[in-house]
Amino acid sequence: MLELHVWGPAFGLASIDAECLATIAYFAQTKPSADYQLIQSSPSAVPTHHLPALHDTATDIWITSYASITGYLSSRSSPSTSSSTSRSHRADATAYTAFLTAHAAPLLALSLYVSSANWASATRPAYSAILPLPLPWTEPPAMRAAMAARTAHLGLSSLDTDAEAADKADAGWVQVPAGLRRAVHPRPGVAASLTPEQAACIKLEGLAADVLDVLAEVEWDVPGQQTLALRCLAFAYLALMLVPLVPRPWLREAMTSGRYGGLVDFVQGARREWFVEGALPWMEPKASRDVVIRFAHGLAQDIPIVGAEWRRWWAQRRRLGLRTAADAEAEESMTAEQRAAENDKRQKTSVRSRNSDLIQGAGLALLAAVNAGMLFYKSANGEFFYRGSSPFGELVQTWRPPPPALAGFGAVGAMFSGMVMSEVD
Amino acid sequence: MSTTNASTSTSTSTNTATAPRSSKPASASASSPYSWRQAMPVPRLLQQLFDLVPLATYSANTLPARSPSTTPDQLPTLYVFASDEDARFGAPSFNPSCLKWQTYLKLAGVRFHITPSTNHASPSGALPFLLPARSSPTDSPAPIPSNKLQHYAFAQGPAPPPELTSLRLEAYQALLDLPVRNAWLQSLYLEPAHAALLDELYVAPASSSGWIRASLRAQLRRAAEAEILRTSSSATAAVVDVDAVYAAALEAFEALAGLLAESETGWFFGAAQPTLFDASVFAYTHLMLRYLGPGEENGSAQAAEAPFVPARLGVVVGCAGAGELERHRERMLKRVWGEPLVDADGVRRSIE
Amino acid sequence: MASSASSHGSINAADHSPPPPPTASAPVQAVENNLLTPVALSSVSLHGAKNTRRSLLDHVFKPLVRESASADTTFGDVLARLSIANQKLARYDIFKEDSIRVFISEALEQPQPGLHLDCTNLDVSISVKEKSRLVLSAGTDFGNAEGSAYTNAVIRNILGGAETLSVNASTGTRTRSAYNAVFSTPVNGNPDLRLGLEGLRSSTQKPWASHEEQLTGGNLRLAYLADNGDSHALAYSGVWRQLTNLAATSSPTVRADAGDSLKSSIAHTFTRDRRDRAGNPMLSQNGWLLRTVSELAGWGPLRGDVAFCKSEVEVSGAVPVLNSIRGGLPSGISVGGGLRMGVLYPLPTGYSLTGPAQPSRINDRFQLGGPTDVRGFKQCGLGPHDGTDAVGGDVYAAGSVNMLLPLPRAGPESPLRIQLFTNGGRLVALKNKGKAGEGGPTAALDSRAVVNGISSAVCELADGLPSLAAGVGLVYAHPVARFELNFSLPLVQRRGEEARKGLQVGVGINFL
Repeated sequence: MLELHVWGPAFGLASIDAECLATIAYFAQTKPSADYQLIQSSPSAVPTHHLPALHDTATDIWITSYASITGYLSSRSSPSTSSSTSRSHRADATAYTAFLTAHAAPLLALSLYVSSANWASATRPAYSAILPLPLPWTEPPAMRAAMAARTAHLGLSSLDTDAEAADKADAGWVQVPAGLRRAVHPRPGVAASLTPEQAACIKLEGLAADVLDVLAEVEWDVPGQQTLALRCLAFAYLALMLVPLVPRPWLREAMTSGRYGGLVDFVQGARREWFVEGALPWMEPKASRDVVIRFAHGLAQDIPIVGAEWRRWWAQRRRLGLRTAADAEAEESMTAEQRAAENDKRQKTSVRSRNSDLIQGAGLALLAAVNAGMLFYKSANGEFFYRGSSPFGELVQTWRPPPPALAGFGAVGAMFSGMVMSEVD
Repeated sequence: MSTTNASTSTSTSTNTATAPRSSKPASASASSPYSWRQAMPVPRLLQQLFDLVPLATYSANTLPARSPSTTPDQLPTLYVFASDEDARFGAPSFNPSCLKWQTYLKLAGVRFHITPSTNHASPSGALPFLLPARSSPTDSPAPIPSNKLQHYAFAQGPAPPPELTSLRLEAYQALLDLPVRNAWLQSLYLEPAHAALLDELYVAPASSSGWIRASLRAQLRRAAEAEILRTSSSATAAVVDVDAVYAAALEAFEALAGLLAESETGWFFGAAQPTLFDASVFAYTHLMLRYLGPGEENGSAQAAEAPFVPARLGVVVGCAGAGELERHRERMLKRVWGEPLVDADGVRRSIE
Repeated sequence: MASSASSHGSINAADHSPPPPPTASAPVQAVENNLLTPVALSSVSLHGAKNTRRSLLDHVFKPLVRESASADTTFGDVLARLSIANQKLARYDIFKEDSIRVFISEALEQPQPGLHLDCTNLDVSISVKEKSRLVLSAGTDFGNAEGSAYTNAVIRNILGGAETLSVNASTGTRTRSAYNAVFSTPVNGNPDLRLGLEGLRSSTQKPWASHEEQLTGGNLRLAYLADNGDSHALAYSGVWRQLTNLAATSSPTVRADAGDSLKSSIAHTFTRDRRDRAGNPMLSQNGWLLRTVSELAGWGPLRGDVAFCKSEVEVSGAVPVLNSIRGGLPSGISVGGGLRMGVLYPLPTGYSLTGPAQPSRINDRFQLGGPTDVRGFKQCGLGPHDGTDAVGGDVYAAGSVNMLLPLPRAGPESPLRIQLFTNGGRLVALKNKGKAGEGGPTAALDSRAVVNGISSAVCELADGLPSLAAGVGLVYAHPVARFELNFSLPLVQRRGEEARKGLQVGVGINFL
């Protein structure tokens, strides 16, 4: 049985995440629904720390990311489908897959994650609906930060107006009468009344056109023309651009402006044909106990200095025990003796790395504790603690002169000297 | 320099002295306490007084020894990552982005010097950039960042390569920007096997101090890892999926080799001349074959039989499309660096 | 005899100059009458130093009681030694300045065996109040040509041995951000010999050369204040400098120096300050100052990326004139002058003295010009300029002559003065004569080229008139900083140097 862990459905689509949606579409067309299960999840729930993740329960192999999953499935299935496409088609498929990841993903992230209005009224509520409490407090912001990083090179962070709104709230504590306000802000120019999306309109349109022009040139509707994996991925990105009803629909408008009718038809056709109502084998989400742990980890990642390190450490640790497809292949090709030796070696190394990992983890935990402790002292009673510690000196400190050299008094003095010295000191 | 030929003051020289330095960074003029003065008109009498001074103006001070002198042949300078010696001979840079533009400018027939530099020197924060030749010793021309170099080559180069307008090129360009670049970053910056190479290329030239090097190395590694995570599909993952990075690169090179095989001219997209895209591909394939090739222990003859190590990207490039990309690299090398390298003193050396 | 000793004499140790008020004349008389009386010190007790370790105080009081134990000690000797001890206490900077009080009384208890029975035994009690151990402050600062806001935390007497930890964060017009922490401690209980360890990180804009310099590093510093007021400081520092954030118009010279370098150096600073600062510390009109700074970087075991020997001398002084017109009282008129010189000599790295040496970088070279040194020129307006960037020089000399006059109404006591000045300077770079269009920024000079270059640069200082400016202005000597508003005109300049005609504002502590 194959377990497919994905982000849950949103906007009337099978998943909120493009790669998850593509994976579901790929499964829906290649596998009968009895062969696999869809499990609604989030990255912190799977050991690969990334969705989509495929768990082959028969071999206990974990595979993550769309390209790896489709690669794994096509290698397991009969080779007829993969070899039927020509070399140039395969090259094109690789190139367009890279193009979608490199350009369509940031564009989508601008629309759904970076734009404050869209995030607040569409994307964040959608995440809240698919995550068990209290995870909506930690995971969606982390997701948004990751997506914002992906779009950083486009220089459109102005769409994120949350920071700006906070400034305005700060400035608002002094109430300026309406009559004076004109004098304070003489002519609110056209720019001031524009939403950030309108202000960046030309740039956004340009970006959307750059991506959609390239995609519109490809014939998506003809099944034999492109590989299935590429079609599913293109569908996923385009559907998430087209379908969600967001308050700042610049991306949707760009798609429906008429120039890209082919793309719109492709998305709508695919939605109709690929997804039959109720046919997806969703599993009932289990009431899992680890939600609290996941939430705690989410919180730990927000600690200023330690957080990022913690995140890495946790992810690496969880990956250690994973069996990947490469491992399985390597094992198959090994002879029995090799396997035994390999197992032995692996155990040793894994024990060693686990040990070093534990030490590293302990170090991190200690650092976090010290951090928290410092904060506590600073905020509460650090100074009093310092003052309360026992003083170095005393209230009265007295010095007395050393006794004069008794040697001057002759032999008797010399006899006394030892006694007196011991008395004084 | 002779300062004896003192010239008495002229009104033109004083005007230059009082003129505000408009070319300064904005922050400097904003924080300057003198800016109010520029708004005030100077009374006529005062202006006459100002015009009198300075009573004597000598010739300018000569620049310090480390200042790059104005080149006698008045050529622009391309700032790239390179060793001192490579820069002297104009040899290929070891940074893919720098090599791409160095190759392209050479393809366009632009004549230029290269000088070793760091990202700190660049106005955009990244190399390469081109500094046009100075017309006078005090003239500071505006640098041309890499995204304007194509335009520059069209305006200045005697033989600019043809510009391709295929939308399909965009998709293949993404292969270089994403899987190929990530594999380069992963292999050079993050593989322990290439730590010595990373030090030699990027860390050691910055400083001789051990702790600065350690700090820079850590910064580079962190930046490379963040860049791979940021651009790959696994934006939320905390650690790089190394196998996936190399697998994607392998596929990407196969795809590029397939694309090249379609062409009858030997250059991508059937162009009659090598284009910017050829330069982009060459920048990676050349560097991977040169620096990340099969190790010394197994010579290139046995490369095919040697155990396949994905971090050895040179092997991946060599195998792609049955040597298609390697042959492309040889053609590019021959075309762009076909003549032996000669430095200003006439010393010759080979390219490797 | 008994009566005089039992009367408690109270000496305020912190200030030693003012004579006691007339009402207290009776005890003072008693003290003066008994200066030659033989006494013995039976005990010294210090009250109120509850956070100060005895091992530190031993350095002050052990010598006191040991010296006062001899038979020929007089009351006057004891008083003198007490005064020295109290000054030492005050210099630790851990007790409140006016809190140190001394009480002398006749010993009540039986004298110890062996003490002199034929003279008066004295008990001395000293009461002090410790300064607050944690001081947080915030405010604004004026440095040379820069204003900044800072927050500062000082933890005094942190381990009970007069150790100080000071943590400072500031941001300013030019210094974008600066953080430093200094831990300093007296060596061997001597308040005049302090050892300090500092860590710092800062980022400073250098608009005159269109870049930003980021520093990360630390230094170890031993400072000694001699009895005659001379001060010596010996410091080792290791700093990672990063030239970054270049402007679009930065010159090739600045671009060539962009990037990282480590400076590892030993520096010695000597100051002999004989200025009369009793009236106003920012307006000394009498006396002189000599300061030398010598720095050796990168040579021998120091390593690092830069190697040079750098030496600077500063002399300044002022003479009051026409004091006779007010019958010997200060007239408020003075004539002063100052001279600064510096040489940077590139050295080869390693132990060789004759190997090839790297020419200096922009962040090591001298800069000259600005309202606090050569007035009438812009900040760093003198010396070699590449385009609009002041790239600095390896040899410089600057001098000034000024006359301060009191304002007609305000008189000599006010902190306001009219200033007439003329000042000038030369800043010359070491040239690479051998290079002819090749080599690039990393071309090293052999030792002969360095010697020739430096000697020709020194000769060039005197070649023609220095760049000169003259003017008149108003000086306001606030206790914190000195403010100047000058009207100046450049008289002589080099092409490329940036003079300033008209008004110029200067705020600073150390003026030429």
